[in-house]
Amino acid sequence: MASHVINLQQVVKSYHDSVVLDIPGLELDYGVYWLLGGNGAGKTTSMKVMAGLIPFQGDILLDSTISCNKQPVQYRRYVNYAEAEPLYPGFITGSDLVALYVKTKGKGFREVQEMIDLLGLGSFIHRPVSSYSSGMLKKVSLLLAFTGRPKVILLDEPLITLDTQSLPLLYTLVEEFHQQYGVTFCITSHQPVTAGSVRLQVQDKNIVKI
Amino acid sequence: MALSKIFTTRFYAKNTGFFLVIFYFFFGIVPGGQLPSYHFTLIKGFTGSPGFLALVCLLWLLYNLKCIAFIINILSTKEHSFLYGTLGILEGNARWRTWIWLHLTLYAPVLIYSLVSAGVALKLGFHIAALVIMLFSLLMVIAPLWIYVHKMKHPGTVFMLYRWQQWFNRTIRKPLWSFYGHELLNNNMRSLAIAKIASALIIIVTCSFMTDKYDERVLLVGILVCALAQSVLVYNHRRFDDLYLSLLPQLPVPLWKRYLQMGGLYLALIAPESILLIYKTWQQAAPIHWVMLITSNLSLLMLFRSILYFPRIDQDKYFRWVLIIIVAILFMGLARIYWYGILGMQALAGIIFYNRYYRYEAPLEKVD
Repeated sequence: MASHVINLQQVVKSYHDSVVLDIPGLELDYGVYWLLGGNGAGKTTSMKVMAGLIPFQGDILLDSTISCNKQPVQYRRYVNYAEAEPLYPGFITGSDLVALYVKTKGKGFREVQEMIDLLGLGSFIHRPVSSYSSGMLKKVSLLLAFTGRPKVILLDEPLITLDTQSLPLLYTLVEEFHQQYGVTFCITSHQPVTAGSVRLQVQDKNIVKI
Repeated sequence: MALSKIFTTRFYAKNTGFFLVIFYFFFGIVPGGQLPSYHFTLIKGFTGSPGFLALVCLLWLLYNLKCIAFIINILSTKEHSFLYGTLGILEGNARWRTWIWLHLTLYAPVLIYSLVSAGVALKLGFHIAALVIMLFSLLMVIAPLWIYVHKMKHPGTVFMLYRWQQWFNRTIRKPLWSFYGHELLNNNMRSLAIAKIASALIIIVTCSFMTDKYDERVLLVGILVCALAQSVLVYNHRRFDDLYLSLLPQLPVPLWKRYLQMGGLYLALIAPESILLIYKTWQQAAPIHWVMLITSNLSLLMLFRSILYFPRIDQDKYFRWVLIIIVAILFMGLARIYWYGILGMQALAGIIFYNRYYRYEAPLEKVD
């Protein structure tokens, strides 16, 4: 039996005593997934849980071997995440963040400078992020999600605040990383990012394929 | 009138705390009747000594830079761009008169005191000191005018400091462990300065108790009070991580490395008082005592930070734990079993950090 890229097992996420996610089991194979759900359904919480950013009960396995709870460092090396509304300390520069990610995540599928030029970040990457617009911040957070050699990239609302010229670029990057480098994507968005994406939906605190 | 509201009133309103502290030191610490003799002695002291006078001039210069930076910052904000179309079109004497008046309203407290000092110096026969103060004051009043006029002529000009900052950002990458240090230096300078000044005073007072007989336990008491003064900075560290560095747990960095990075940050944070401590006890203390005192301070801060990884630790609970830990270490120190205290704190901090780091979640209100 082929191993699943990501496998959520008995995942329960609560805030105080209120359960917001209860996923008995979810297996995602290699692909591009489009996570749907109304406002407040738990899409961002699901993404943060899958990224290992917030604690939860249960476990998540990557390639059936790497456990989010038992091998947190390895898991985080292979799962990248871009927040919907990234927030960084104002004094930090884009290049500080890129250097930090490259140092910890390792060499990427593509040269980071090439990606900086492609996304048009070169003109402001050395400036403190306090001078960035929300679109510039978004581009930096997307660039960070494409660093290293991830097996899974989680993109939370990647299209918001991006300018119209950057949208086709993002679609191309998703296609390229998926087709050429075998990366599985899980994307929350109100519009489909790629034509062949599989739809997931947050329903009654669970994630189901539709 | 409008310019007074924009510049002068706002300057004094913004710096009320600063002026209150200065006012207290100059007019509040001696009885009213002794004020003239107090200031006379003070002025006599710094006008009679070239080194002391240089130090005083440096302080006046720093104040002047504060005034200049305030005016430049106001001119750089979007809502005051209309000033370029009003103040910027003044010419000749009107232009210089306006700027000199504006600058004087900000620099007046120092200018008045320096002119009085020059008068006292003349009366005491310190003619060179009086001349130095007069020329220095003239420079402090005139030089900023060129900066303001240059700024008005070149609204988008990139200042030297900004250029240097750009070069620094291109060349130097800020390491992960230093982020909170940068935050303190950039956005929380007041808390950092208060904690550092308090620590320096504590070290000086503690060392003054040991003129007759050296006892490392007295120093340890001073260090414990210093750690208490820094505990606010540690509490704010969690707030900073929660608000701006939610990305940190997502990085594939081993826990031992994260723990060492935390240690590195706090070691840098306590460096000023550690250096002062070594300087003040250079003749008396054994090096092993310095190691003990610095590692005690460091271990305390690391344990304070680790406690904050427990869920629902609010300010009250945190400071309760801080006091309990300090009292426990105080008793261990008095019994001279401080090394056990250090090992215990490091073990406890390490275990809490190891078990709680990935299980920690920022309180909801902070996430919002």
